[in-house]
Amino acid sequence: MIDPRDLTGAESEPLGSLADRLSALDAEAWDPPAPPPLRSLPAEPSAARARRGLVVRPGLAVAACGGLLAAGIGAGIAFERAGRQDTTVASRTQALARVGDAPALAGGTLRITNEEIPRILVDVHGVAPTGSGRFYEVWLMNSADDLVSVGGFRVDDKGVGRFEGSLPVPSSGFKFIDVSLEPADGNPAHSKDSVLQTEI
Amino acid sequence: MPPVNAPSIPQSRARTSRFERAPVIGRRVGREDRQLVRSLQRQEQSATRELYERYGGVTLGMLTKMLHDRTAAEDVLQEVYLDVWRRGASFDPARGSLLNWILAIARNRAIDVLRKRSPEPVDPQGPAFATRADPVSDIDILLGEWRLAALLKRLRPEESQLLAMRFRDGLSQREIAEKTGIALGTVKLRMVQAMDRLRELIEREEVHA
Repeated sequence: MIDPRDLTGAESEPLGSLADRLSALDAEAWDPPAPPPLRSLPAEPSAARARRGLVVRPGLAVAACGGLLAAGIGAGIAFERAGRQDTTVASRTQALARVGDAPALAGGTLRITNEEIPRILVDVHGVAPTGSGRFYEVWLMNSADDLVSVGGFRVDDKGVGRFEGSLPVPSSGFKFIDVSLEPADGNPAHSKDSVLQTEI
Repeated sequence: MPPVNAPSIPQSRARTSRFERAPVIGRRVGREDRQLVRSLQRQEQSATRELYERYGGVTLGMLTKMLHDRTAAEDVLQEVYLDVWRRGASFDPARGSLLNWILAIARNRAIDVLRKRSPEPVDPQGPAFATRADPVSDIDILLGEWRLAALLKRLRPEESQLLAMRFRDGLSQREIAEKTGIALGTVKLRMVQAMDRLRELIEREEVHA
């Protein structure tokens, strides 16, 4: 331990305390490690950000609508019975229906709590594993041109994944939740590769 | 990818208007941080990236020490700064500094990871059992150390280098003077100035802690 008096030749309690803290500091703290590059962040909540024109497929849309009601009721009951992530605040649970080129058994559930800052819980199953070069992204969406990213998550080798976080903006301004498969290429725009959706 | 019956959205509902808000700027926020806080509250990616550049190394160092696993620490680091972006809109500078806020997010993330880990078997007869420390308490000690590390980075390079030679390398002021070719009196003066400046930074941060 370094004698703090050696700093000035006179005793100084504040400097001494600080000197003690500096002497006790881990060697690595003097030279912190270089962090890896920051992975892509969700798109900014701005209309000005890049948005790709998404291809609307009416047939799939109708099919998704039809499946939502039945799947929603069933999955909601199953979710509640399982008692997963039960919270003390009121929330609603809905099913996510597969869309696009998602695997035939792809599905999932959506829960949004009624807290002051609502939390969102998305569970997916039966979807393609992400590996290291891809991730799934959750979106609040009105249309292909009006959407806000909620966040990204990975899916394991069994095709199961979960996203949990707080909503960056109120969901009341949006009609859909969309889950898309995104390449980890740093492009914050929607990939156009949606796999699951539901109305909210 | 079909948003079901997605209507066209009038231009007046563009996202930009929804997110414009008057930022809450506390009196303790430095001028250089005000613009950063505003950007953070508007959830601009540039703000999170600047914070990552400023504090990413320190956050990673702290997480690595807490988790004893560099790979896990890097994963958690990404989650921390995703949280910074997500929660930036609700950041209130009157309640704490950006540094403390970020390190607190990292601390909580690290605790979550540690709690999810399977506990290692402990020999109840062994000495480690009796001296086993509270991991959360350890984490809070580490948080204090790495907060200090972050503040050292805000000193001028010649100041932090001087302090490193003194406190990390254990050199006397006379040895520093000989090694650097700086007069001993100048070394002493600069050391006191560096310590004073560091103490100011600490006091400013610890008011927020």
